[in-house]
Amino acid sequence: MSFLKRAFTDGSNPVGEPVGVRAILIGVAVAYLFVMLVLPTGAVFVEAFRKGLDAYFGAIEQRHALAAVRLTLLVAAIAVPANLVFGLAAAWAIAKFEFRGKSLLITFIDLPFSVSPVISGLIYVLLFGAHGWLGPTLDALGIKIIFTVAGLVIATIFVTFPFIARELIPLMQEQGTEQEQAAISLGASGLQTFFRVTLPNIIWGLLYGVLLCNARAMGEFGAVSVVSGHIRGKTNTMPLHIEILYNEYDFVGAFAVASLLCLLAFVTLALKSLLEWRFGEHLAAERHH
Amino acid sequence: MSISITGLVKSFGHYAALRGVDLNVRPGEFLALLGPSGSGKTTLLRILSGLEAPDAGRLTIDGADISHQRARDRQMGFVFQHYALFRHMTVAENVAFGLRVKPRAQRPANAEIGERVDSLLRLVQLERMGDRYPAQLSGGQRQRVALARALAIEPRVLLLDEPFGALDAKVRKELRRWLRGLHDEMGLTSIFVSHDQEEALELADRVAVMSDGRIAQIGTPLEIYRNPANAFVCEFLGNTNRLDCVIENGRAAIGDQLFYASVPADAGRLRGIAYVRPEDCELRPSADAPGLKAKVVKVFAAGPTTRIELRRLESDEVIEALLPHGAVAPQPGTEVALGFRQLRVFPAPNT
Amino acid sequence: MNGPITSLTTGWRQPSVLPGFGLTLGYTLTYLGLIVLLPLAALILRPAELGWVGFWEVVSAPRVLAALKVSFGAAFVGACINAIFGLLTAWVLVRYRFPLKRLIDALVDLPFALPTAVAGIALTTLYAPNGLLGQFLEPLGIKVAFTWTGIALALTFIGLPFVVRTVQPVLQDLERELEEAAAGLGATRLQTFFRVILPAIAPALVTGFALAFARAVGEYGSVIFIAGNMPMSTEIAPLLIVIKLEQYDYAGAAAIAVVMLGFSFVMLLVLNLLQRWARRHERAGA
Repeated sequence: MSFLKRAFTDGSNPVGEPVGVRAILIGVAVAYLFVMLVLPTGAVFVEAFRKGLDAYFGAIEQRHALAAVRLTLLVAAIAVPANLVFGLAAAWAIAKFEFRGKSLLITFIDLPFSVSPVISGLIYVLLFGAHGWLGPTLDALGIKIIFTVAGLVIATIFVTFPFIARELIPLMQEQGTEQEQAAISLGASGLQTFFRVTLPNIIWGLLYGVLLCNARAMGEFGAVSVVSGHIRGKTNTMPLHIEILYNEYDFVGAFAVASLLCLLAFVTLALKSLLEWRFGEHLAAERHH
Repeated sequence: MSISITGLVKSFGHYAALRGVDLNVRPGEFLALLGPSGSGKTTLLRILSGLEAPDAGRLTIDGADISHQRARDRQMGFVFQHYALFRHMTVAENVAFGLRVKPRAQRPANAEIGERVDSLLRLVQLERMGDRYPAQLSGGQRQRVALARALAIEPRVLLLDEPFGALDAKVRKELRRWLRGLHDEMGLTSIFVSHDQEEALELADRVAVMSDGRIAQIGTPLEIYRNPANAFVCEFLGNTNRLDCVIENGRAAIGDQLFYASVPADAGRLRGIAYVRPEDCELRPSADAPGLKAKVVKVFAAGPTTRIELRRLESDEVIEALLPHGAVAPQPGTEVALGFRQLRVFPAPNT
Repeated sequence: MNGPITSLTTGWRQPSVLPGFGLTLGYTLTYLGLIVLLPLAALILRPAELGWVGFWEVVSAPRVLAALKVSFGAAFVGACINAIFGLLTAWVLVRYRFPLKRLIDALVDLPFALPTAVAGIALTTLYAPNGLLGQFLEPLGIKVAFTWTGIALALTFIGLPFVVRTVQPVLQDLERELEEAAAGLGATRLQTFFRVILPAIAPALVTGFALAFARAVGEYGSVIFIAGNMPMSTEIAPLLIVIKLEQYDYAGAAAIAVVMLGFSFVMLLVLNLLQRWARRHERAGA
């Protein structure tokens, strides 16, 4: 138990709290986090394996479950690169140039974070749905967005819209424009400057943004729920499939799929922590939130 | 208030910050802790204020043991190097803080706190600044707020950590004269930490020179400057020339010249180092005169004194000499004989 | 860079030797316009077809008001819990050393990384009357799942990281000297906390609270499983939007959404003002 004693008395700072107070505060905080975070995640795995390994893998290998996994990967594979390109373009324009209306633009880019997921789906139904502004026109052209994969993608893009841009903008602002100006003065083209000078400086921040963007893209529920139509095997992503299975009392099935998303969350957290510990000084997030 | 410190030891992990410090501070004294960074002077100050707990040793104030008293009960006025002003409070609120946090029974009434704050702000010449926030003040003004805040609790001792360290040269000179005046006027007992020997020698009644977690010498500025107790103090205080020598029978031999050395005669033959201050060098124009043979390399005549750089003919050692303003300086290239009005000899380390 | 210098100084932007401004800004504005601004405009204009009276009738209907009250009330309680425990967590993580600290620090972000639907079914299972925790609470007369308490619990869960992550860096950067100065001036540890530390971290604490609150008000996925979804008592506003949408009452759904969105903007505005107010004296570090 000597390590505990050492842990609680670190620094022997006579201005700090007494050892007993420290121990109580640590105890309360850890207990709170255990009940709030560890127990729910543990429950997912307990429920998923309640009927044994066979039932677990059976549930995952189910046709509709596999289709949901594929669809989730597909949606993320479109939404994340789309926001990556946008994030780079927005960060270049905002961080490397001075123009009026910049802070308004940044506010607009952050906007989707303050919109409820359900409303994020709703706006596209209002626009593209059967009774939406553009719905009849699109219908006449034979284009369907709501209740199709296109709808899922576009709603996912909306909810993950700011992730990469808001990581890159402060990072690139902090780095200034001197290096790029030096590259231009040495005869580099715009693209050369970007790939050889700018990108190496922001690569860890970019990965950080992609990581968070991807986690949200794969896990989004509310927005895609509104535009999906819940067609099994067609427009059901993993979170939506969980809901259907749960409501049908197929708990092993629901928690088995949920356990996959839990693993995704663990991997995301592990990579995120790794990036923060290893490359903390290269990340904007470390300093800005 | 008299302070007595005995056998103070403190280490941080494997790093020994204080290796046994004994020190007595007299009532009304203005004492400087002088030393290079890492010598333990700030640690000593922090232990006195209770911000750090010593590993061993005893602290008493007027005979009462305060070793185990908490910082907040010690009533020591601590002025931090970077002031540590509370940013969300106005100047007046900062100064009042120590009065407002007193237990209810001892807390002065609001009106009285207001009066005390006003008089303290007058004292530090900031009477119109009470409503400002620290961010709106200059460095010198912040320093004076920190001082007023420390004085508000009527400290038994005023402790100042590098009080002028963060100020520019001009403000620093003004402020330290003013602080010395304040100390005398209020009858305070003060201890301040400094790494600037000029500042310590000018300001303090006594200077404790610290080195490597110990007190190397303590005395009045004149004592320390004129009679350094060891090689470290000699080198740390002011410009000095180092010359290799051999000590034998109470005499130090530099080249073929012999000088008196205050080293016990029975110590045998030792290698030593002789320290000579530039102003104690005497230039004898004829190269045949008694003294060390040297050649004038450069002459810097601009300034209140004339500085001359010489090179010893025998050993290539460089020596600096200062001549009073108006003295006739030799031309570069001239050979001269060097005499020393005063030099201090210490055995070389590791012998 | 091809034309004369004067063509670069068009007044609204400073000239620069770097290329790509027109392309990247044009792309940014187009993408932003199509994905975010146009659809949001469609939302805001939609209730217009109801007229002012119709709009008022929709949002003042008892069921809508009840749902808004549930969403806002539970979100507020959740944010308050997060403010207290988030501050505690940030404090412990910054100030003390203890085993597994790094792991616990990383775990705090779990609600950001875990899909809301997963959180929803996990919490429901735990707190159901026969669940791991529910079975102990049930005999005490505490019902969590399918009640208002359950909603507040889910909203506490999804808002958990906000306060920790806003307070943590501020606490980290807080100079220890301020606390030492307070102690040296005779303040007790509690006085130091309330008079010196708390005012310094208050802006971050308020920001974290507001973020957690705003996030919780709009939350859907983690709540619908644990909420009873009974109209007038345990029905949240986002669920009501979905229900209206399923009934093809687009204007009604949009009306509720506009109210919630309006709230979000007011929150953002208040937050900005608060932060500006808090920073007013701290431009140059003292």
